[in-house]
Amino acid sequence: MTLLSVRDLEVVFSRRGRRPVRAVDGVSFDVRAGQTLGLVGESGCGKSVTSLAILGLLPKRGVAVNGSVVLEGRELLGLPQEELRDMRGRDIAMIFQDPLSSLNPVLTIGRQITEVLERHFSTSPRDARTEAARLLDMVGIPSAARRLDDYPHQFSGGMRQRVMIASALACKPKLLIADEPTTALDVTIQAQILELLKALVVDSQAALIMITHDLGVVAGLCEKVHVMYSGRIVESADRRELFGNPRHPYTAGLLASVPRLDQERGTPLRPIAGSPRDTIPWSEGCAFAPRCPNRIDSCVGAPPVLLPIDHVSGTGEHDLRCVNPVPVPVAVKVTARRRPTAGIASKTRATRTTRPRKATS
Amino acid sequence: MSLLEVSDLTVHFPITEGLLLERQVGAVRAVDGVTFSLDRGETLGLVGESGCGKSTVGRSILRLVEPTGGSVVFDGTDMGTLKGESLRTLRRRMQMIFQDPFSSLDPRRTVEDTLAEPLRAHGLAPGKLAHERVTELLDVVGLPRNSGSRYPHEFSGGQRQRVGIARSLAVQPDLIIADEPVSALDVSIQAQVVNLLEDLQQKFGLTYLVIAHDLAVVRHISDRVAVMYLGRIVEVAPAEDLYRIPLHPYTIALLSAIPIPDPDVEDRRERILLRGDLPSPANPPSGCRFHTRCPWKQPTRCDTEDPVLREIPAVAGQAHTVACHWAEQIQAGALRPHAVDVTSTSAIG
Amino acid sequence: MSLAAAETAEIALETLGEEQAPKGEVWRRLRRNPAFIIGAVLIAVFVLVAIFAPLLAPYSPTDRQWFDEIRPGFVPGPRGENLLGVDQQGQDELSRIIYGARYSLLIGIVSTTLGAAAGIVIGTLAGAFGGWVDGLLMRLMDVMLAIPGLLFAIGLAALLGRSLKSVMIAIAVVNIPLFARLLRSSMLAQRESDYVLASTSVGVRRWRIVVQHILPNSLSPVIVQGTLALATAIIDAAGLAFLGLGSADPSIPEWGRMLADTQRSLASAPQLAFFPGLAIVFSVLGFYLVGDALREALDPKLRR
Repeated sequence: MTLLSVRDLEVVFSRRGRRPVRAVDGVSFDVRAGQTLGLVGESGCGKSVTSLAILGLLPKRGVAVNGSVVLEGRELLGLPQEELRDMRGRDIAMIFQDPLSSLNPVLTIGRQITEVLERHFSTSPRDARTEAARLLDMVGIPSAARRLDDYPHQFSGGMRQRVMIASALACKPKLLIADEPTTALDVTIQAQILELLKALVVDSQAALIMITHDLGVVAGLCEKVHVMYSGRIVESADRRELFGNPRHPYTAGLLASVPRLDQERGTPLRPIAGSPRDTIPWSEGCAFAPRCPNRIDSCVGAPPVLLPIDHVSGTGEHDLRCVNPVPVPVAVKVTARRRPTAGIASKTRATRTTRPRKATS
Repeated sequence: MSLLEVSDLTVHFPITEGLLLERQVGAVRAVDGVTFSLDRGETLGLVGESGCGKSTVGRSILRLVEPTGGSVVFDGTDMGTLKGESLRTLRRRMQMIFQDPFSSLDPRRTVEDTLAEPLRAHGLAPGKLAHERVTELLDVVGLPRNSGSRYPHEFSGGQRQRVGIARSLAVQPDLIIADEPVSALDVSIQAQVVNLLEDLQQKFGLTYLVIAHDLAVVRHISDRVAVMYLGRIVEVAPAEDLYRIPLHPYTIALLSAIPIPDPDVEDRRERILLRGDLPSPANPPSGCRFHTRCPWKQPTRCDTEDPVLREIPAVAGQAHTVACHWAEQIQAGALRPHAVDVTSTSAIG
Repeated sequence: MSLAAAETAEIALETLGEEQAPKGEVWRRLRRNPAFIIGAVLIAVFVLVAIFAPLLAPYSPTDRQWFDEIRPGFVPGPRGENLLGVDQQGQDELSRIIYGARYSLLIGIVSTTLGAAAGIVIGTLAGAFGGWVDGLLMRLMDVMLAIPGLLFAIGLAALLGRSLKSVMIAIAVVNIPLFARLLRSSMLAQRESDYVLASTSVGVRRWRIVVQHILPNSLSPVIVQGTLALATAIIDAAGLAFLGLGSADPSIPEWGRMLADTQRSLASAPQLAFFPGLAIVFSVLGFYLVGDALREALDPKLRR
């Protein structure tokens, strides 16, 4: 059952005296209830702007949003502010990258969570407080009840992010959008937060859109992955299919340019040439063409279309926006080179560690 | 003789209180006794998460931050004894690449000015020679020759980082300390810069100290790797050994936390999750600093005795040192990780 | 007096410590800011009037040819011969307003420049050396800030006699601590930036770093402050003259003085208070608009 349906979403930023910037240039995807989806791309690809557009959080002036965003049959674009506010938090909640600036520094965190509850459910202050304590406990904050009266600056980065997650889940939204939630955190804290997200999403059955530039994060978390470049989706597939069989030169390039713990140490890194600035507008051809090792003549001239292709492994569809994709045998060779190392040992029953506390509902 | 020998390096930042007369009431022990050496031509990776003190180590070696204890000996010269002009001249031989390609270049000076500045500071290329040398440097780092007349804001992050690298090469140093050289860059650009650094090392016989939090990058580029936690080194080993056979519980947890872009590996791997947050560097835990979060903590020794870095003979290959009382037992599988009581950890401030 | 100046220092301080907007961008933002355009026009008018006063004024400002026409309770108002009327001494008001621009501009520029120069030097020394030098200089600045500007001006007038010179010195002195603190804070912020560290690690000598890196990047707030200080200098000069602390010579066409002189004849010639007041407002407004626009244009946070 489709929870959210985005069709031909376009976001154009205009400023006086400058060329308009097409941050999002025709993005379409669906999210099913309970599904975890990954939006992957580097800076400037439009992934964050997409999420802001869905929630109606973009400024009015100088920004044109077109297309359609339908949540459970209701069109979100163009909704009046009042209805958008009702929807935010209750139906869709968002977690941002920097918890320090997303939390109000002069309110206690207890207040920030109870505020959400009181607004959407008209909960009594006492009930809201009890619920807030329960939520903090659920996200793994020790001495939750006591910490309700603490201020954001009294928490560490990882803890603040947990608070954000707690407040996002307060109203049991159907869809959770996480925009680079762990990018600013240390890797061990990131692992904690990702495990927490995984567990909570499973428990609450909310759908999750994970926005990140880190392919490793989506590999462990997201059922389906969309790779974005310069405002459009260039490849979509289920995660096994995408990582096992990356066909778009950009996706393959990203995978080949990142050093991996499970590869031989001496494996050379194959960077993608040029920089994200070396791009042409989609209307003139493929935006990745200036940097693409697989570029052919037909890449420039007419924009490539997102089309389904045959999948090799895994289930589900594999969509690709490329006229000269990476051939399949190369992708298979990449798989063969990997071997497990002790640092990433497989789980055995004897060494299984305890998981973060789950919600007891 | 090693090119760089760091012994018991300490950097404490005082915490003061009081309105009129500031008294010191404590100290942030950013670096609390770090010892390592670096041979000519080698690349040592220094890894750890925020708050471990690795950046401070880098800066205190160059004396951009003054050490409060210990010694730094560069090519036989004790850096602590140098002042003024002699320090300035020695600085020529050790350079730094900074993390942020945006703030490490003066926005009001052209690239040429920025690259010529080190040359002028040491009288290396008077007059016209400076321009030629700048062009050479631009070539070496793969930037277009006409970049000299442009300003930093006209370049992308990756290109600015190349300018930073060119600047560090200008005076032909022996040692380059790279403080998070690629973490501020887009993923697809990181590989370019990493490859460039490797090429330059080959070409000019450079010695690198690479400070980073991205373990995959560090493993790729380093010969040996040192892991830091809360101001101390907890493990040092050849890169391959560290990643194949990590001995210190922190290293094991760190490695298990790194996401790998392979769904099968991710699903199957064992994750050692640390609980809680980093303790305050102003008030480190007693005994082993990691004991408050350690999944292998034992009832004896861990909270009373501070472990020393010691060599583990059981492991094959070069020297593998670790600061843990129970390293051998953990490695042999005799000890199992267990849940850590979260309330015993203290969050930062 | 120090209140207005302190406020402008606050505004200038906001641009501290962050990455600067590139030069071309600054100019572009200014060009498109209507406040800047209006302010720039006002300033241009003000400056041109001051410079070309002899050409623009229909009469000499001290020419009392209409003195005979003044009766008790009556002063000739605006008419064909005297577009803004005649003042209590029988001089043409318009010519006096026009020549008044010269004095205001002179006082504004001289006092602000003196104050800024001294303040910048002190601030640079404090910022560059730090330690006890910094401490000493800043305590000195604190003392200067603590002295009420008005009392200081009165004391100075008592010491040096009532003159334009003492007004200029008084205003200059009040500006010194403001510029000193501003530049010092700016430098302190820049000192921690990576490119300063980079130059240090490369081996560039300390003084060179201060002059070539820190100072140029610390100047933005100073420019904003300078513009706003000019505005307050004009107001302050007028205020001091109004209080009788300016030149003792009644024939000098200084706007504040002219305002003061109208007190006695407010009933008979209220328009005489209007014109100098309006002139002050417009010139000061011009500087405020430009200063505000500059602050916005230089503000790195507003970047795309």
